[in-house]
Amino acid sequence: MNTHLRLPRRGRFRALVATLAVATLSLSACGGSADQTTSDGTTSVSGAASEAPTLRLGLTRAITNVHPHKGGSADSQGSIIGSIYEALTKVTVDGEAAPSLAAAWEQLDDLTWTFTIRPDATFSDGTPVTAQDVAWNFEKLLDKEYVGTAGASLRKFTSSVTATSDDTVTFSLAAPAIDLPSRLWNLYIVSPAYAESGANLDLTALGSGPYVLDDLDLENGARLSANPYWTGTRPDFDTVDYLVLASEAQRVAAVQAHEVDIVLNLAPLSTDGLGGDDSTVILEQGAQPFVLAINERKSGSPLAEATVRQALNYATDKQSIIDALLKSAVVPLPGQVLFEPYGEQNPDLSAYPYDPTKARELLSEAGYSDGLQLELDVPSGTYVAAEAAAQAIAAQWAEVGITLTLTVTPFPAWVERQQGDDDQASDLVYINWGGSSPTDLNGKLGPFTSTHIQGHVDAPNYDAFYDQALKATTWEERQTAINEALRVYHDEAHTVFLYASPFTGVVSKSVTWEPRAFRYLYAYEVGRA
Amino acid sequence: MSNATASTAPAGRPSGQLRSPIGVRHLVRRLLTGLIAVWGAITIVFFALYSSNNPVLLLVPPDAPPEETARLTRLYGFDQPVPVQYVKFLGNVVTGSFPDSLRYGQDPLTIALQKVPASLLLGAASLVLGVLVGGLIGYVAATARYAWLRRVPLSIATVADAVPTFFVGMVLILVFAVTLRWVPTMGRGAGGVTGMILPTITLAIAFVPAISRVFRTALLEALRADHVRTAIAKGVSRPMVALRHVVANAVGPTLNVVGIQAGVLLGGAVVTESVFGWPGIGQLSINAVQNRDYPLVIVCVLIIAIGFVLINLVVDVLSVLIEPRLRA
Repeated sequence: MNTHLRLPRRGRFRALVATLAVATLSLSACGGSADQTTSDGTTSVSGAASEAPTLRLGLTRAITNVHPHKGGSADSQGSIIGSIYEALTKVTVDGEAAPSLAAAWEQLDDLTWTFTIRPDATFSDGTPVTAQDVAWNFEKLLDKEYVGTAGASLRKFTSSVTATSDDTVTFSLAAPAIDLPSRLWNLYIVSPAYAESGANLDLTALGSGPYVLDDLDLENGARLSANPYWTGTRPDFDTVDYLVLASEAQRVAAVQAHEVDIVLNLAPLSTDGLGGDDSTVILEQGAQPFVLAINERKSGSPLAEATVRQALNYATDKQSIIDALLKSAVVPLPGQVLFEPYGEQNPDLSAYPYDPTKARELLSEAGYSDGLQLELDVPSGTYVAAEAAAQAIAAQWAEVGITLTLTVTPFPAWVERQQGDDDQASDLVYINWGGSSPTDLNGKLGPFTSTHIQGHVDAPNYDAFYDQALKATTWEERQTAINEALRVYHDEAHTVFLYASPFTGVVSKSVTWEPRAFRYLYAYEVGRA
Repeated sequence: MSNATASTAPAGRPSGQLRSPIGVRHLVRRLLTGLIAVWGAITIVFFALYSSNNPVLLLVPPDAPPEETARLTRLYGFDQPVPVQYVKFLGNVVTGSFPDSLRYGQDPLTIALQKVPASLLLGAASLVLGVLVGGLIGYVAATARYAWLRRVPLSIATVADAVPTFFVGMVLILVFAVTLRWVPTMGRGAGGVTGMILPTITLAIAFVPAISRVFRTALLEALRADHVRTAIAKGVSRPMVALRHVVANAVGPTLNVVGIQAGVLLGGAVVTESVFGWPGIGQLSINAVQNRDYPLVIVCVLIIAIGFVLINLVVDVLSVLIEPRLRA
């Protein structure tokens, strides 16, 4: 039986046309015109970057919040918060502490500092910023019960912060901190009146920075506009869109489609083919070290022995990974986690050379001539080329008899596991640590201490020198303690030293921007070409 | 006429009263079943989340002392036994008052509900497109004169069914956004209204295969029916036969498939929303999971489950209205 229903040809054609017309109308009704503006004011981005009235900056992680007292990653809200709020100090492109909300500061003695507030500082609602406002913010940060967690490190060395005049705040310290201005750059000042009005500071903002927050979508980005009460140099762009481009594919596509003016954190190999007449590729050495953090405290772990840890360092061919995966943009770490020009490097230390024979000897000496099995935890989608690098390391270590099992986990689960107890954590963790400025000792050396929340080392000698450096009263004393701390970490091989992080990105030639190796992408630092 | 109706009415129904197209008892039963499904979904998700590690670990800065973690754990109530937290959680569901989102710092229900319109918009546009294209392919596959025309479009749709959504999305971005630059790569937030085109097509491609296959099968079945042959023999015009006797009878089974597809509109677009940065509840829920924002995850699941139940209920009612035989 013929089941095919034959309709007249003309009828079939009309039916097809009608169907296509309905489909087109349906899409048109939903989509609208390319030149339209959306209800939230967002304009079409189909134009070339050079014609865009709005600066478009790519972020590589979803925004967690815009709370001025909760810190924030450079790759996410840290760049937004730093454009909206001011702290007492800021970190220059060179990494030096510079005046911001504080016009000047003075160290009165080892434990007392004063900061003078800039006289023209004004919140974006038009009210002046006073010393009392600043003291209120620090009072909150020093309160153990306060929701803002950025004060946790401040509380370790600060007793009180008080307003001693209308334009001066005084810090009374519990321990010396000769680099105090460098430690304050990300403790931002919010309007107390606004904060106490019940505003949700996770989602809204009122600061004294060059921009104000107009719109925020934690999952997709934020829109900023110029602060009308800003008395400093007016930024080149009146409006800024921060766009969350969480995956490498999204970042590359956005660059190729000219939908962003600056985006950072591209895998070095992804930069092939980018750039050209309308954009510039950044492929440089970054400011932070990549290491394999070691869990020395796991029950019965061979990694408790320094000789085994040294063997791991000798068994790792850093340069071949750098050449193959990182386009030779970085150098191996010089046997320490600080390196010039981004840290106070110990000049007497050098990188562990690649020496598999020496590695085998050390393993044999430690009683592991038959080899050993270890696990390496790698966060997925977090660090450039991390999984490929981990596989390369596993292959290198196999040559000296070490079987390395790779565990690739999403970032949150990866963090959770490290923060768990010693026996639950992995033997080794592929990680990128580092501070936010050259003098940020807490950020640069703190993660390598035995007491760090994600640390599993047993390094009392290092801890002691680190503590000395933090409390040093002179720069010479501080450098001596840092050198000793770095020497101990190197000699006892408390980590597997890999290489400096690559600093990558693409910058449209329609804008000017001096790259910050610490990756903060402040809108006010971007100009029109 | 009223007499005839009265004479055929079942015993117990008052004379002259028309039978409702769908029974109230049926509706209540479906609603109760739906409520059980919602309870099951949120309970499974609750225990899956709360039996894992402490989400507060993600909120503290790296250099925070252990006391800070302990303080926040107490503050958010994660130090209490899981059964106690579950009982509290059920109370929250009943009263509609949930603990604040860990990430947003405010009522998670408000946050999630704000995302629903964007998901519904994308889902509805995709479903319309999917139904039109799927219906067209199914119709051609059942009625075309040439064998290649009957087979090729359906084969393409079947192959499309096997391609992962994220891959389809990335290919569309590469071709239409990066190479041709006709549309933006990102969704509504960054790309303006034209940003809706690619996610709509991507999601619609997921709808097309099932709709086209079921519609084709239903059409073929209707074409074999005696009444169609009779209508043709009686000289009824072929367009009229196609419309009233073939397509109309094939719509019922197809609507059921459309209903199942529509049921996943809210939660099924997770991948599409993530690939295109579409600000819907799918993207919100996946980010909430990644950030261990437990209150927000639970609320997203709750909304998606309720949406699924309600949409299916509506489709049930529509199916019965269109195909009265389903009433039984």
